[in-house]
Amino acid sequence: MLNTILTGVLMLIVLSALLCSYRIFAGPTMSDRIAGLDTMGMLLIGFVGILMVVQDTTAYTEIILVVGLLAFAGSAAMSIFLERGDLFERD
Amino acid sequence: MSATEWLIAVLAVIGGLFSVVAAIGLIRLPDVYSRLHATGKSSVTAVVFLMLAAFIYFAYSHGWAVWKLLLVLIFVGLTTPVAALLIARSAYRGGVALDRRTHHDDLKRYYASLEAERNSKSKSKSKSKSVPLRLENRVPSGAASGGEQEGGQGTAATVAAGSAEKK
Repeated sequence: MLNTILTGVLMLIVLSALLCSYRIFAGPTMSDRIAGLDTMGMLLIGFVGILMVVQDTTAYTEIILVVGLLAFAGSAAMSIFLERGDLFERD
Repeated sequence: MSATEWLIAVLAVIGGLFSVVAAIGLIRLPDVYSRLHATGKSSVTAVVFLMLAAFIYFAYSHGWAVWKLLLVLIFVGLTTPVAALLIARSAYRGGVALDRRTHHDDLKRYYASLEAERNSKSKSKSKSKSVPLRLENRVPSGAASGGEQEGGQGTAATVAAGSAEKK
């Protein structure tokens, strides 16, 4: 019963990731795409967390940490690049 | 199902519904800023509920408290607002237009006065290393006069001083 409910939650998260991918592909500006990718990273964190419960293992906790870090670093780097046209200041 | 399993199921379903809310907000809202408003809150809330469900599950069924899950929760709560701020600021500075139904833009005057100050600085110093922001195509010249009304006395004075120095 719990497994069925959690599989339904996984399906909900996959549905929202599909909706996010619409915004990523069709977003009118580049900032829309960055926002969609950031949201998709968050959804991926939640997905892996519920997948750990479904598969009854704690092996994926590092994956959650690393995906959270990468989602933040990726969206920060992309937005700074959009803002300045350059990531690091060069003299 | 015991009461704890019901608690886990309810937390997980709430998290899944919040993720759907984030995705619907990302699809339906009109411009970048309102989309960031939708996703920045509800994706964090979704992650919080899903991680709490996983934490309670492992604490209940195995007796392990997986503290890394709560660490992820703190980390996400710290970083996602920062990421949303960075995305919104880069969008505004890069000239992404607001929705046409928007009727109030406080940042416009601020950036116009900032650019006026920057122009006066670059006029007074012949060699300035600062890279000019790409604001010229977005801010109309009429907006700069609106910016002078508030804090623009000093700015206008420095502009005049800079032009006098150049002459």
